[in-house]
Amino acid sequence: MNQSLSRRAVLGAGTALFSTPLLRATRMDDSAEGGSLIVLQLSGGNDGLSTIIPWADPDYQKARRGTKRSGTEVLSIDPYRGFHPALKNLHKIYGQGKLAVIEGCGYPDQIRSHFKALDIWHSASPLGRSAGNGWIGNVSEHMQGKQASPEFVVHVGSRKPYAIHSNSHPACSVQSPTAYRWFGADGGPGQVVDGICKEEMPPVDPRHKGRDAALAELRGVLADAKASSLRVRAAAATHETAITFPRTGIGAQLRDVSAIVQGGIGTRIASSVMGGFDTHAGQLGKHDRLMADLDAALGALYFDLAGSPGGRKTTILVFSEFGRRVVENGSGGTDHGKAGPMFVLGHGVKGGLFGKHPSLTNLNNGDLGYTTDFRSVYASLIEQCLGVDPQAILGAKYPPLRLLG
Amino acid sequence: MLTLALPLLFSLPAIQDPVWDHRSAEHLLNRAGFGSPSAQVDHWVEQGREALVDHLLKERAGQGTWKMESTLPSSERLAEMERAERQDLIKELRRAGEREATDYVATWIDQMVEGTDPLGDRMTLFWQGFFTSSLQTVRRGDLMIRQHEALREGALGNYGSLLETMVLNPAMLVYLDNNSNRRRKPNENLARELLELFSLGEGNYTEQDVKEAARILTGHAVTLQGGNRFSKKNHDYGRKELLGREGRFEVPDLVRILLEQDACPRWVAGRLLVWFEGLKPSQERLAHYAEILRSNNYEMRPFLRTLFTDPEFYRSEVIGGRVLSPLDYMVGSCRRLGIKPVSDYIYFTSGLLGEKAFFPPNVKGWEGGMSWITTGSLMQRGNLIGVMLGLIKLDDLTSDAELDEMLASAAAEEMNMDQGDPDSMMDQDSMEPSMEGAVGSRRSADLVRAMRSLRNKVNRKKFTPPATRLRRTLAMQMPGSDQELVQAALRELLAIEPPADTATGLVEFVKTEREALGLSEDRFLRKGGKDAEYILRRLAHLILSLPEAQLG
Repeated sequence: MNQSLSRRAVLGAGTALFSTPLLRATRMDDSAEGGSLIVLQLSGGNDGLSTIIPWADPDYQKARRGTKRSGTEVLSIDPYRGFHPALKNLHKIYGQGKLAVIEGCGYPDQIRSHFKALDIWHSASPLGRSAGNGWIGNVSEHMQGKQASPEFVVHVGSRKPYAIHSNSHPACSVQSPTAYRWFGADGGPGQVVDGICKEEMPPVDPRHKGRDAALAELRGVLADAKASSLRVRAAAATHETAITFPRTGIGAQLRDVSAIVQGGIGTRIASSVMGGFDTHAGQLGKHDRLMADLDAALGALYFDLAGSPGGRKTTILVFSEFGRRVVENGSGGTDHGKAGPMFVLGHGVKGGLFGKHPSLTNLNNGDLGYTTDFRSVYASLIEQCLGVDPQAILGAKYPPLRLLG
Repeated sequence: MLTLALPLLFSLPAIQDPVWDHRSAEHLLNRAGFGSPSAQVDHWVEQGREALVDHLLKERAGQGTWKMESTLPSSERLAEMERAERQDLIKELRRAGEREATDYVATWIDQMVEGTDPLGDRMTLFWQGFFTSSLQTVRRGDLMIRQHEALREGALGNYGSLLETMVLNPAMLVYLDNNSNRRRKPNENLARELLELFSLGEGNYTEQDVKEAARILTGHAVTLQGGNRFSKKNHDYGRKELLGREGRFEVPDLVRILLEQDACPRWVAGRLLVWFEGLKPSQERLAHYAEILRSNNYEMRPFLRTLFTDPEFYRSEVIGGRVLSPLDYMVGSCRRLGIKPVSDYIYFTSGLLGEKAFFPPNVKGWEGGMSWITTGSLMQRGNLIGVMLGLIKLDDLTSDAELDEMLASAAAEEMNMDQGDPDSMMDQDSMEPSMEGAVGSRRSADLVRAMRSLRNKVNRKKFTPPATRLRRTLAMQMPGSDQELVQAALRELLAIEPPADTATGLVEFVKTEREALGLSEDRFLRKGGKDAEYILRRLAHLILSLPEAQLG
């Protein structure tokens, strides 16, 4: 064994790393029951009407003078609607019956503030974060129980969404797998840091209430970082694939997500964020580029997941905090709106159209009203993909959709 | 006289003045600035709290205006040009503007490290996250620099004046699309954020108020040169109903009406309290400070003076309980180490850690607090300090020699186990090269890009690890043992008092390293020469990688 490896790193890496299955071309599949879930957030409020386009609706053509598409441009779903012209992969996957489009997703009394709305999507509660953990954090607590492995939930990217927040089961957050480690003064992770980094709670000192509470949390994060560092890097480094991911930010992130989910390190939920969807002005070109980047990255991820048994049991969920106003504003863009579509794709997905396209005439304050509560989609995936009772996570019953199997 | 004075005496509130000691002085220096080396903290303990508060709130000479290297010619000249020529000029201006914006921010960060206007800089940072604009959207460095200058100028002034300036600030008008907010087709972006984030807070206005505010803002746009332009044609002169008032309101009325709302001082005071205390205030405390803001007509100085002399500001939940932002952490570490780094270094590294000045994550600004810390960012903070101390090479951060070595040794182990089986040997051979390729392709593109640009910047200025003041400072304290040395280093490098258990592993580290070099405990610092410096740098790196170093 290499001397420069710290005791903890070796212990932390445990059997997964050194009993060699990780090094084989065929990945081990340790998720015997249930699959993994990848959650992709489109930040800023994606314009649903330019994503799944109801081109044949005269009210769409009337409301969208600058950004409208014709029936010959869209990638057809049926005589009423089609995919945005750049969503070629998604259209193809839809054709293979592996992509579910859930239209008109939202919740009662939808809010047009980015932050309040994201909080609601992240916590699955109208109260937002004051209701407690994020919904993924709740899943993590429920599924892991007393054990808590930091790699159970991995976020790839710089800013972690509140959805993964859990007080008792914090998640890993990886900006770049290669640099996901601490360099000791001796170049390696260093024996020293084990000796000096305390994991136990600092001694209780009434003079230092604030410090000690924060320190307890930070020491927990450091312990998780040390425990997960080698495993996350190894998962990313040993992932072999014939798929070329696009050289975009989201392409790189989803490539890492794919490697980690298929890396056999026990990651059941991975998360990633793509930004730039707040298209108040000059939407046409901007949104086209976003759609093209999204499609290329998401397509690569989907086809890469086909390469392993674990990957084939993985489901991808795509959402945004709100759709946009039906009528364009004066800047060739659209302002914050309400309901919008969600995507669920994967090799176990039962594809097709779900929910109901919201009416373009019977508007809710100028916006599309919701026809499916987004928590129905969460509930379906919690049950059908992760194998957990959704009511235990969401606190209420939401009518499920048959999205998998 | 006596009869007058007596009731006054008795009505004095019976609040105990908090103890003014090293801990509370360091707390104020952390929160109202970017922390200070312990000798400076001692100085202010001696001078007293009033003196420090006076020093922080002192009027300072303005910064002057940043001289832009690149500007656009006049509109007349532009009109004479060919379309292609004009567009090239604008493109070039964008590129040059981004470079200049980086230089400008780096200069500002230098000032934070020097500490000539700590509270002014800290408040500018606050306003930058309050009245946000992003260079990514605005794409004009000149506009961003001018906006930042206005925030800096008014940082300790009056919130109402800042609000009035910012509503029609050119960078803001571009950032929130008011350029295309016209009478016939209003764009609500600026109006919504104005109500939600810049003045009242969510829940204190209706959707109708957003629409009416947007109407008031119609026609206020920006010229190509970056000045304000008002278009009568695109402006809505009609009657507006806003927050229960009605009239032919214009922008000054809008600002006045916002300032008159009860929600406004509450929103601003709440943001300020969270900024300085790192905790959400109680309802009582919020109401108290909202009233201070309101009764002082939104002046910042009386508000800050009250806060910094409030015993509650020094309560045990507040001191040491706030997570340092990346800028805080990098700037504070430099100040405590006595380092003056290449200025771009802090700009780029704090950006990598999630706080890139001029590029807020969204219009709400940076979330702050524990959200700065992830498993990844916590490790990376220590790494980036290690680079600055000359202990880690930048290249190491983007390659993974350790992992390669580990995988190779694990593969070799497997080979040993399977020895004698020719088939498995074959497998092993065929696997190794492809593995190496896989490792290479794993490197995250954006990190590599960030590192490369960082390295270019750093190399340009011939990066050598800057000298630290640490050895001299510690030698002056004449530590007689490893224990004393570690205690002195912790006191010097941390922004907080660490718990007793922090020192143990560090003492062990110093002892082992020192003994390996045959240096004695009491003469280590004076006689150790370069070896002592090296051990001290590694000790500093360890200390600044600790969870304890993330608080202040």
